[in-house]
Amino acid sequence: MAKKQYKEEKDPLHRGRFQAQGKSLEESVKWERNTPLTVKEGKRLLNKLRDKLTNSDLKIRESAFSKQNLNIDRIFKNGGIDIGKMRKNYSKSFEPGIKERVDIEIFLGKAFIRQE
Amino acid sequence: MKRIDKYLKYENFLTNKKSYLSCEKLWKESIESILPKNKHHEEWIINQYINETIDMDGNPIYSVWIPELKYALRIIQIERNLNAQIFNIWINDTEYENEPVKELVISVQLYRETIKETTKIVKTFFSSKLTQEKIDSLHKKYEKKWEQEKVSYVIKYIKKDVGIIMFKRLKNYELNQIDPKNFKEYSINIEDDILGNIYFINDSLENRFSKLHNSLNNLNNVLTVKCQWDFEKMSNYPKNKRTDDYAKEIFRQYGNSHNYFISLLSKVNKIEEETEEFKELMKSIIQK
Repeated sequence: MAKKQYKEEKDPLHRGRFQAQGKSLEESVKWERNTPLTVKEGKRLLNKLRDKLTNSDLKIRESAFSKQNLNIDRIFKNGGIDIGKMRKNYSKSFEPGIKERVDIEIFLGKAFIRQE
Repeated sequence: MKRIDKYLKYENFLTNKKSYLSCEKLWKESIESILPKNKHHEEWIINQYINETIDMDGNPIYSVWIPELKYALRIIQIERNLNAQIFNIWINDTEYENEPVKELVISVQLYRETIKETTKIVKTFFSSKLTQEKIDSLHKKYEKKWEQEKVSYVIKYIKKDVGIIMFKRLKNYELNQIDPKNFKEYSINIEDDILGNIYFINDSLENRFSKLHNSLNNLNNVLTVKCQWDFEKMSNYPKNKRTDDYAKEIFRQYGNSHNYFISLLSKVNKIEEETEEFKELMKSIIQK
């Protein structure tokens, strides 16, 4: 089955990104679209970021990825995040060590909601 | 005289709402007093869900930004613990409504010193004077401090004579294990009086007694029922009757059973010598 693609759209209403950073690492996966990101899609994107990392980069960030996964579950249980309401970004970082981290940032719209 | 740790009471901030709100207030007051006076600032990050529940996880505990400067600050407060760094900072190139924003992120365990460090660094950041060199030097400083804290924790356990339990607990550190070299260095700095109780073995025991290990491995192959049987066979049967591969190999190497005996005896003697050395080492550790 072909993997679902996340097309970048003009003036998207929903935007955000996952980032994995470190001493010599800077990887990210973003979404820019006109429909809110569902929890399922969000988790798929987080896995996409995982897949971009080498085994050693992943190993040191494994706990941070797990925490982000739990964080997404928690957001979902509470209905999701809506940036539009407050006009403030949403951001959460987990760092397994100095200089290594996995971030999630929501800049616009809604994310981690139930399938609409 | 040792200073009273007045922030210890906030240790339970993740489970106690009152403590959490006190921490929020503490950061708000500490930071807002040092922000540029003539610039408008506002909250930067939401930590609230669609159902209006506020996430009281300290991530972030406080955030602010100055729209005019496009500079933002996010402070993450983590529980006091040895599995996480005491103080960590980084710059995140982010955005707000499509405009680039420079965000300083500080992840911190609450201590008098880390509050002081945070306010100092925030002040530098908002006056555009924070350099990568400064960030690197802070990483170095707190990496060292973190290591020292872990060593100090381990030493406390050694003092209680529960070394074995302690090392099991150390597994919790996983990726953040103590470097043995640092352990020696820092333990000298921390508490001289207990150094006499610590025995440092620079190599691993496995390396140091590798010959013993190899000899035992060799004997592993020899001291089997099969070998006994082979051996009897070797000494009683003519060469052309020996069909077993193992016996063939022994004869290829040693020529006859007498040489094989001599070789075995020499291996046993070596093991005895190394065992003695090992016993001496263990004795000296226990006596200390």
